[in-house]
Amino acid sequence: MATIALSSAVRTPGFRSFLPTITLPALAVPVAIHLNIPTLFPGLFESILRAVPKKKQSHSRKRMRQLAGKALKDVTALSKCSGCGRVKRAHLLCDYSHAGDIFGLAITPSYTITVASDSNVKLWDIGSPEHPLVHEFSGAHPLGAHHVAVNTAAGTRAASVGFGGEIILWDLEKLEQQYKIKGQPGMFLEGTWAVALSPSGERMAVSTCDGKIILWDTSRPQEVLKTYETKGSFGLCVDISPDGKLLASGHENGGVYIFNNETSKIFHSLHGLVKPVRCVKFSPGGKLLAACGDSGVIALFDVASGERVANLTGHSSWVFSVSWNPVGDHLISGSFDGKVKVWSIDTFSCVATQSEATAAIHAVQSIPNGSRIGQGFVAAGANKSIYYYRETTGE
Amino acid sequence: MANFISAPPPTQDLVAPQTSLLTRITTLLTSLHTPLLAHQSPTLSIASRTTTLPTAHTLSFLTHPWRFSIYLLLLSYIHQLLLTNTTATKRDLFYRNPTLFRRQAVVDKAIDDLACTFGVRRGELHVVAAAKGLVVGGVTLVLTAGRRVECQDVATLIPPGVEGVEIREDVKWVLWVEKEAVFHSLAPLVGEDKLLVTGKGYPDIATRELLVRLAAAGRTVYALVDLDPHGLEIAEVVRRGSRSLSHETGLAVAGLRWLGIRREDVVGRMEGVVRLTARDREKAKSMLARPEGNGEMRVCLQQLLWWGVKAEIEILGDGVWEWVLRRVQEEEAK
Repeated sequence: MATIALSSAVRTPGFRSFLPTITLPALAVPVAIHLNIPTLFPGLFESILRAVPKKKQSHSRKRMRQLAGKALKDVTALSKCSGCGRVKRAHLLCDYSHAGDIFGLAITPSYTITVASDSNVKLWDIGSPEHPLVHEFSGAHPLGAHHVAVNTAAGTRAASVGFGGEIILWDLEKLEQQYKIKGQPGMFLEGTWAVALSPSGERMAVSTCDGKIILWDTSRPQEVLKTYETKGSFGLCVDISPDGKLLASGHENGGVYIFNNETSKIFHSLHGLVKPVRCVKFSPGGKLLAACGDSGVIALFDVASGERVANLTGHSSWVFSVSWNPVGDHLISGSFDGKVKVWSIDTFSCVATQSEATAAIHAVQSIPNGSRIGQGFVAAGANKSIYYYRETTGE
Repeated sequence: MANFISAPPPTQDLVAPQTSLLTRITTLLTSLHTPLLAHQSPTLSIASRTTTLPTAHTLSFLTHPWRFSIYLLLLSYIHQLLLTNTTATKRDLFYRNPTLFRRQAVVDKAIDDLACTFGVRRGELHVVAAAKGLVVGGVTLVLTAGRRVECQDVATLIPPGVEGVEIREDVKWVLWVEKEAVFHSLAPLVGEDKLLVTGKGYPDIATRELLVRLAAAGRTVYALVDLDPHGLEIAEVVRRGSRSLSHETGLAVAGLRWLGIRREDVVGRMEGVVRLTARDREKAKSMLARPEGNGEMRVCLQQLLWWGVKAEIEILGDGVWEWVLRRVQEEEAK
């Protein structure tokens, strides 16, 4: 075929004549759309709202003050962030904890542990008011990591799961890697997602993308202890009860399952949640199970009977994470719109809403007993910062 | 294959790159005589594109007769094309011997292999792909022999072998969309002072060449792709050049600006999103594992995995064009 023939054949006359028939079906598909101006223009709206008229100072007056040595001075009170080492203004908090979204958060009496978009696992001191970075396992998860868990009571072990599917067990006393479980293609370990450690640290549970829950003995991580099968929906979250006897998992199809580790059988299959369940947590006493997810509702189940005790409604967006306070009378939840809510379990109502974060809160954790800063909770998420909240006495 | 021009004595390796492509192909073909005369199996040295740096591997007729025949036949076609100074499409080459080639993809891959082996761009082998990309707006494409294709008003196929572009002065930026459906819904709205391009998925070389030309003319190229691993990869292909066609140099639009759709556009309207499939997850993982997979793409991929959802451009609904104009304004203000 000659070049000339090719080039002249490229234009398609009459293209426009059948345009409407192509366009209309393509546009008929999407759901109803409302352009939400404030979310599309967050920066602009803020600047409009904050543009308050100011008393104008004339140029000559400004110059006179400058010549008299009374002009605005440069900010020289700078200090180094104890966490990341960046220069920051003194008495102000540093904005950056990780170079990217924080996905996972776990708390022991001595450390706040975060995993994020970058490849590092970071340990922050929880006791001191500045919360400096204590240790960093740099390059641990090359593709970034999304889940981290600790044995809360003792705080001796941690486990983190990376985007590459690798699970790393950490020894928090010696601050070293204990064991690395690498998911291999074609093996059952492919697609590992959420992780949980039993309070004693003996057992580790991991959910997978094909809905399995795999249990390990952390002293012998070379082999799998048990595998629970579910209906094959993505296992988004997993938790082990405080006594270590029960295991709960939440799935993408809304399924919540409780397994009995002693009999290796399913104990309850809890239905009623239709949308993905992103976090399940046993209460400190082990009596209740909180499940939250894309529905925006936090469901409380009675563990013994499997009945739904309460629905905590109030979030208007996906709820990524919930956490019980050490006593078990309050529940903390963090959602996609950046809101953190505190719920009372006595009244099943929301008692406080924190909205410091402008981006999604991916993880919340309450501060366990034994830390030096008392009661409170920690939240972290898409705007790279870690928020510490202290319980106020009036509550 | 009988009428070869006489060529320099055959050598094992490929001839130095400065000699003309025609001579090099002729040399290669004639060098096959030597082993045949010596009653040995003829071999071809073909670059392998699977590794990051193209490495040559030897293909023997005895061990791989089918693949050897494909390369040999294609070489002879290319030789003919170069001799007569004509151009053929990949589809055309396939139909010259469909029994041997079996599938179009075989020809496509072999042609790219050969281009990589000789270290030239595919167009230099006088082989082109059938036109796939579409363009509409204030531009005139200048083809060989000074023929011109005006793209105002009508969606026009981007032909291979565009030698130049004449862009209207008032065209400030170019919007490249991933999907043809979105292109057609936007095309009637694009005035003469705007430019809209689509590659219908992974863009072909002609489309990318056009984007490079437009970027070189000082126009900002904005990308509108799906918020899913494939959409992000397509944007990366345009920005960095394709991984499997790394020998096709000069096809990267480094200044490509990712207009969307981004997570901010999806926030608050989670009802239109789709769950990630297992394949999407695998794709995202493999993209994360790439050495160059960094920056905003990395975080974006991780967020997709973390949320477990993806969103298509259509989630914006009827107001896509207004949305585009607004976002471009925001981007320009940055």
